[in-house]
Amino acid sequence: MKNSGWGKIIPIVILPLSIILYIVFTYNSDVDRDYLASSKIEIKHDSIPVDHSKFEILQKDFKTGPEVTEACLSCHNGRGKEFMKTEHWKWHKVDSIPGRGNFDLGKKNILNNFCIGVNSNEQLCSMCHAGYGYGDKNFDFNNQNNIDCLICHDGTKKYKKSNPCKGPNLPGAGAPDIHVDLKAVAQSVQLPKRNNCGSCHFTGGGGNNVKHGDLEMGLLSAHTGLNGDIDVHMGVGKDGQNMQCTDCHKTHNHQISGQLYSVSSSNKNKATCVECHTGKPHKSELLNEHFKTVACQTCHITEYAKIHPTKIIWDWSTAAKMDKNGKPIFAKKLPGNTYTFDGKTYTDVELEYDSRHGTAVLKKDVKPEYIWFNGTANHQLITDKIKDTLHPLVLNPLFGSYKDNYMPADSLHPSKIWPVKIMRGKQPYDKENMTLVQPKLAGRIKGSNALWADYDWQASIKAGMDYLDLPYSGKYGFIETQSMWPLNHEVSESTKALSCTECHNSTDSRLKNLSGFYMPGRDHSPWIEYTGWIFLVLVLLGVTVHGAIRIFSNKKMKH
Amino acid sequence: MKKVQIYSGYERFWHWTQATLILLLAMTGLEVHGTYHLLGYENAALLHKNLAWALLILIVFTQFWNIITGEWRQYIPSTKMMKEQIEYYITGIFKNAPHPTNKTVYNKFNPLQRITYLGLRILVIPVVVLSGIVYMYYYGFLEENMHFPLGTVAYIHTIGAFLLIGFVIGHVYLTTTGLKPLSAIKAMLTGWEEMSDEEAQVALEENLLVAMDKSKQTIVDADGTEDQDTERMFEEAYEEASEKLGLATGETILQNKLSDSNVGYFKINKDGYYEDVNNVWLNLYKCKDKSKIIGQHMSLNRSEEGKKKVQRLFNDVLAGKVVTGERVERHCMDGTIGYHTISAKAYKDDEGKVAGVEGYIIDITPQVEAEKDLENKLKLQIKNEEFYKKMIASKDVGYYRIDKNGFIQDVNDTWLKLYKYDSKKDVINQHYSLSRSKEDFLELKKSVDKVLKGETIPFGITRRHCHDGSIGYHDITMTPVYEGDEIVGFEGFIVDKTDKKLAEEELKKERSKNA
Repeated sequence: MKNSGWGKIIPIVILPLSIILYIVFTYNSDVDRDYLASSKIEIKHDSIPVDHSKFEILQKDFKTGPEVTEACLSCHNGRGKEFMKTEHWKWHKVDSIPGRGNFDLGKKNILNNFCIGVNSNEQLCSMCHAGYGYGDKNFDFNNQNNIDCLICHDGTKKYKKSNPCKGPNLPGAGAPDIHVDLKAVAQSVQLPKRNNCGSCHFTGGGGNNVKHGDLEMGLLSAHTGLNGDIDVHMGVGKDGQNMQCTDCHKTHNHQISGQLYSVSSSNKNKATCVECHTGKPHKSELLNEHFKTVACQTCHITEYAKIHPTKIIWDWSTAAKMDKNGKPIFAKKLPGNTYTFDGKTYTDVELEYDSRHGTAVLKKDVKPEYIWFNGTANHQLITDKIKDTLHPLVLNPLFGSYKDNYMPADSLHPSKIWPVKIMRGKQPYDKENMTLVQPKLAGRIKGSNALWADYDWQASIKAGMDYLDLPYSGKYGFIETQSMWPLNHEVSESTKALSCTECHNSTDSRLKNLSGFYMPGRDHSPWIEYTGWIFLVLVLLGVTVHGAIRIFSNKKMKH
Repeated sequence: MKKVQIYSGYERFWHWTQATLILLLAMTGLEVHGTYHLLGYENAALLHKNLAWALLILIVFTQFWNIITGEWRQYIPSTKMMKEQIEYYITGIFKNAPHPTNKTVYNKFNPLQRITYLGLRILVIPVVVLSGIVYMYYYGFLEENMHFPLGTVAYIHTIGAFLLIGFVIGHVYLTTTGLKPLSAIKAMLTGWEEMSDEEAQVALEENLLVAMDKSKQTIVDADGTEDQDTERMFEEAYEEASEKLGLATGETILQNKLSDSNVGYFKINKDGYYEDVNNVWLNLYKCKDKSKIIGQHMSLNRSEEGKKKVQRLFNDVLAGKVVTGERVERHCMDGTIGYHTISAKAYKDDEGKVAGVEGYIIDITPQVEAEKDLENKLKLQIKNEEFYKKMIASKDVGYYRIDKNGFIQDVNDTWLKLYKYDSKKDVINQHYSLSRSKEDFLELKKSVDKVLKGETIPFGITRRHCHDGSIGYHDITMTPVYEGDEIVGFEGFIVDKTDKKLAEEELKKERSKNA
């Protein structure tokens, strides 16, 4: 057909449209999720190793820890005074709580919902004190010879402290195990490695990975399957960098950077991702935009407790119960793999009962919970009144909100969405004074009022509170508590990071519990949604009916 | 069916590009919205962004194009025919009623389209585009400085998206309401729209009107006033242009009409020499070369008798008489003889003096031959079956038979054709007054009465009212039909004379117009 126009359809419609679509579909540099080439990260160590085995002063047979320390300090002049300023030694620090003021916080003064508190339990707790002899509140924090250098600097991997709960309580609180060859250890000293830090930090709460969830013995070696999928920094196998803790937790004069909000409240002395990775780590602008509202950890720590399970619930209220023979029950695995607590059912869990600890719920490969967090926290101090027993008491509420993101009180530290482990449990409190209480737990001697020896809550709490010189009404109960553990470790390699739809998802968003803001893909206005779809259905229906009548009436006309 | 060009190349490019972009934007947008998972959220979001930029650039280009070409006027809303258009979609479309509005290059949209597209252009698309830009780039700014939450931006964007998708559904459906279901889509692809002949004619007229109007606006007098002069220049230019395009103008339409109806035209000066003849005249005289006629005397190629008659008519006309329907014999260039009627009047020169004669000739050779045949036979009073058969089969002569009570018993096909009936059934056993006015009937009845008394009427002219309402003229013969000695009816032939009469009437009109 002449002049029908079909001939020009290719140059006029198809060709330009194809070119435009080609550009639209290929212009997509943003989709590249690689790191920027300019931010290649180098790990530098600024210390030269010295062979301590050649030093004459370390050639003698050390009988006690303080002897070794004395030898160390004879060369490392002034380091003792330096170390005694650190929290690893003091176990307390003055920290500011926004809106409340300065308080003496730190490990010694804060209660948690694992082993509850240090006070009156120092004999056991000091297993992780970088010192010798911290057996009670009378410990001399000013004697530098009581510093335990070896727990951090041991290079033999054989140094350990004695456990007063296992075997006779010898040779004393925080002292080296009697089987340790102190001479060999002293000669092996080096910069701390993962096993040094891990000896305490991986086993907090009474066992491997019990406390943090993202710090576990599995992070020590490849034998546990440790690789870049588990932790891209500490991994030793595929894609792992085999980094040491101090590579990130930069240390100057024994002040180690990094803190956690179980014992801290202010936004300082942190070891952060951006120190190495900058605030724009991705090539993709779209991903970099997320930096403003989302912590790196949120996308890059998709799960924690990847090798060993972590404790997620600790119910002290069932402790001190005996079996039918009147004997205590020890570390009994309970049947079943689900557990319901505070109205929520946890699946794929391990359940354990022990008369000393009560009920424990452990879980592996846990998905984090998410909160808005600006880097500051409050604390339920032992002297603080409990105002609400109907809801779980949060021991360390983390400050933050969506509003604090776009209108931050501190513009350098706006709230971001963070992944946290929320530890849940029930712990004793004073029903009359409405305060938390410090029970005396640790001890093997019957009649010492230690819960683990006498199985008597009343006596245990009274002993603990008396030890602290705090009032106790004599009426205790158990209150549901939560503690917040922001996650920082077990960062997966980049390809394992969360996909967009894990959060931008209308049905099963990881962030479904965060409200008060609009998130694309997650949030809809039900009103617009219903009206919109009804509108479209009506339009479709309208044209269908109109078309049907046209076809019908056309046929009728032809007959 | 015709095809009319409606859309320019740019419009076609723009439309399909925009359609594709909007479709892809809707798909990726719904994925970002969380309606389904197909490309992956990230890919969908990034693609949505790229598509948005492509659409934005296209919109800027198109608005520029609309302004430069003046196509923006097509979007000016109008309530004219709005009611009719709504009624058409509610009722008319189901009854196969014609479209109340026509699509032309200058008026592509019906009033409902105008208001809808304008609404899209100035309301829905800007809202969606602006909310989209804010969504992509400024949500943080808005939130921090104006406490305007992203949710509100997103909801506005979503409402716009729903409206756009709804529009696309309705839009696609309404493309099926063209001449054929795919006409509108084909038109948007090729630029050419299929239309019924009537619609195409309206579209063409509209195009011409607009083109002429536009041309007219391009000329004014140097001092800016309108005057007769520029008007005349426009008209001359129009005539000239039409001639170049080979189009008929007002002046030539009459001649063309006459040419179509086989009317020959001639112009003879007062000395009797041909000044002009038209092609029909040349055809009738079987002459191929106009130059062989122009300048010749009018007595060329005529019998002595013919020369005298022509000279007499010529003199009459010069004397001021108007001649109509005079029958003249002609000797054609190839030697054959033909017959025509001639109508003529004097024409005047610029000073108002008679300068010659002009007029029209209408060929009547078949009629005359048929008449002559008939006359001969009737003179011989022979009832020749063969002759009757020949006449009944004739395409020039109509045959009829009517009984003594005046009811039609038989007619041939030519009769039906002349009376514009489809079938014999419609006229058999009808009274002959069927197709006549009262005066015509009474006139004819006189003749019928005579024939029923045994008289034969050789020829007479009568007027008929045809079935389609038009009026025709014919010569009629009437012969009694005997059964034994009794007259049972009459029969005869009719020969059409309508052309002659119409030509006369055209001439009369022309004359009164000139006067």
